[in-house]
Amino acid sequence: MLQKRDNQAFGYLYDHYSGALYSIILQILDDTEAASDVLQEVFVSIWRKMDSYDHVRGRLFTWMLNIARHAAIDILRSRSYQQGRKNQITPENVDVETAGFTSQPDIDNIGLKKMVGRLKPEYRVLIELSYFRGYTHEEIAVLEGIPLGTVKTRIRNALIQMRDYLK
Amino acid sequence: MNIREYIASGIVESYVMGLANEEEKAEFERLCVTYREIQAAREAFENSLEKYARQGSLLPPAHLRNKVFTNLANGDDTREDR
Repeated sequence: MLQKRDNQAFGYLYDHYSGALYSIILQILDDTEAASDVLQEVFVSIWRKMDSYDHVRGRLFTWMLNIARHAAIDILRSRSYQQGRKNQITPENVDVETAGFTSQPDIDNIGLKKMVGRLKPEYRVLIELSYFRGYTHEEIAVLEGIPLGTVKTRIRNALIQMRDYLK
Repeated sequence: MNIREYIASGIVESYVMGLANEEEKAEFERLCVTYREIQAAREAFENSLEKYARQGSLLPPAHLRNKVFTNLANGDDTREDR
């Protein structure tokens, strides 16, 4: 059972962070129903893993954001979810111009997705594949037919540019 | 090692965004302990990322809050180390 103190702490976490986490999940899944399910799972998982959070490694938010991103990507890449979608997303048909798929809220204009939209196309596609679709650098090198070193350099450069946008 | 170059390489952002590989992660964490500048760069990026992400918040469906609480209250709250 949740203790009263836990309850308050959890309420604080939820009220403070659910919006930002829901946003990143939605940016990945573009499906409000699936995103709600994932958000729910994410909070349970955050609560369970709370003792493994290590502040030396970074901020609580960073930790939670990565949990949320991974959970959404797991669903995105699961076979049942792929089959359930009308338009399957495969790396082969990533269209960097319209990489927001169909729309519910216009996820291309939200948060990090919006920022990624400002990157030049050869950077944008790599951030899309790595950050929003969870492909490893190695997988991307194969998919895009570019050397691993180039993938890494471009992703690093793209991230530096995003950091500058954030300032 | 040139700390300034290391910080400027994009490793900080890559680490925080969860795109660094295991080897890079381990090295980054080690260096963070040794070099304050690296830790400071990480904290600065984390702060701006958090601020930006929270500005881009979207309200989840209202009923979800209770649902999550109910899940946790129904014995689904076992933390891994308990």
